Amino acid sequence: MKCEDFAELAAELADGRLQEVAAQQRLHAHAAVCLPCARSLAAQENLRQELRTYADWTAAETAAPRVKQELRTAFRAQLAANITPGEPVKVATVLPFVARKQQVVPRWLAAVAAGLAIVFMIGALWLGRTPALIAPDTAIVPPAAPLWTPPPPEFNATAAAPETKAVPVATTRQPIRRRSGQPNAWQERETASDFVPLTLAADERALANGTLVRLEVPRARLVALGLPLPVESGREMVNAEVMVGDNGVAYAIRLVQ
Amino acid sequence: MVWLVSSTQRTGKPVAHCLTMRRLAPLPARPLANESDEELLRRMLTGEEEAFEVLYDRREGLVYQFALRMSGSAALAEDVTQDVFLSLIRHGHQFDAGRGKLAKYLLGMTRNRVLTLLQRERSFVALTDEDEDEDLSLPASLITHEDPLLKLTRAEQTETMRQAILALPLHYREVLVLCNLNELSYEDAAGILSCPVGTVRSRLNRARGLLLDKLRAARQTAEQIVA
Repeated sequence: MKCEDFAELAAELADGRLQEVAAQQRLHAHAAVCLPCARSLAAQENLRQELRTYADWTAAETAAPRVKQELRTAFRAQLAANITPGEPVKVATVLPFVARKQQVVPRWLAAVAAGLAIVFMIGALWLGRTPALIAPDTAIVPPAAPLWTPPPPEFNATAAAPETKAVPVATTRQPIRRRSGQPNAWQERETASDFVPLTLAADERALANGTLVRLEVPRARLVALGLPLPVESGREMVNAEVMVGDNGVAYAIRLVQ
Repeated sequence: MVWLVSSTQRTGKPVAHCLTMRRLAPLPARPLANESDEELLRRMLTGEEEAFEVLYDRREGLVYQFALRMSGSAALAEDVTQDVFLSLIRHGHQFDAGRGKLAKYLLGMTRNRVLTLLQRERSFVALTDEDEDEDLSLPASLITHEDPLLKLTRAEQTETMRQAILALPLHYREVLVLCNLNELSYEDAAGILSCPVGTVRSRLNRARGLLLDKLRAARQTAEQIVA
């Protein structure tokens, strides 16, 4: 055996990971006659012992109890929101509310519409012509004159009736514009309570920098969390807003009506 | 208890039979501490808080110590621990038991987060907290209940080893921590690092060589200072 081969396997031998008995014997035989390799093996065995000692001494190092407490709070918040842990949030909506209102069309519907549009375009290209939006036998004569002029006194309506149908004039609807300072109806109706802290870490900074998540929570869950609510019907759903920090911890909760 | 009335064929007299129905005693619940990690995760995902607590207590050390040994920062290790378990709470259903054990899955997640945070922290410079000077209370590390000399020696050796490991390049460090400190097999380490077993073997060999050099250099420096 050469010293290079020995160096490759010395660490494994010292670790006790070399399973092959014949290889172990070859290495020991080489170390018996080669002083540098014997020293190398001794150094590896010493290192192995030192690493084990280091692992034992640092085995008791654990995270602060605060970490467990925060995780427990996060776990309970997820349960309180009536969401099974491990499943994505179903009812959550991130403020501002305007964005929520604008998201009226479901994604699947938009995807279907986009798919139909693509199919339509491909079909049009396949036929080698532009899509006919109007039936070919319908001739449209653009009105050169004003659409309606007062008929002369001898005008005969039945004789002078045009062969084509009159094109209806599209009326443009003016969008309803709201004054900038005027609040929406839903803004006028909504009232929110003060935040109730869910964790001791719910300071002002956490409340200012977090993300507000709106949920529908059973009343009984909120009562279980310690919120001062009358227990009228445990299954009644209550709107609540949870302030979630950047680290995912739910800091505080408030009720919205 | 149910009474049935029937008549015998010989006498024709009604005979009452009593059927006693016993309620079967429920099977004794297996203590959570004896459950496997995978079963604890399953029960945790159904909302069982106790299962979460047991799983956390069992595996928190694995995650925290790996992060600490890789980074040398207790604050970063705590952040990583919190991140990993939070991810398990929210996305635990993504764990596939067919691809390996939960401990391996946790180590893989921990490794990814540690690498991400270490890369992010390279661009920051550590600042000392001014409030630290105002804290006049005795640090817990200075309160000892054992032989002070022994504890000092141990602390010194631990710190020397920690610094030597932290001085290794990341790809050598992670192999050394996984195989030599966490006692994982080459195969498991290769699974976590997503590389062939041969690569793990050669990296570990190289890492140990480098570690020996660094420890030797550190001890020589210490001896020179003493001299």
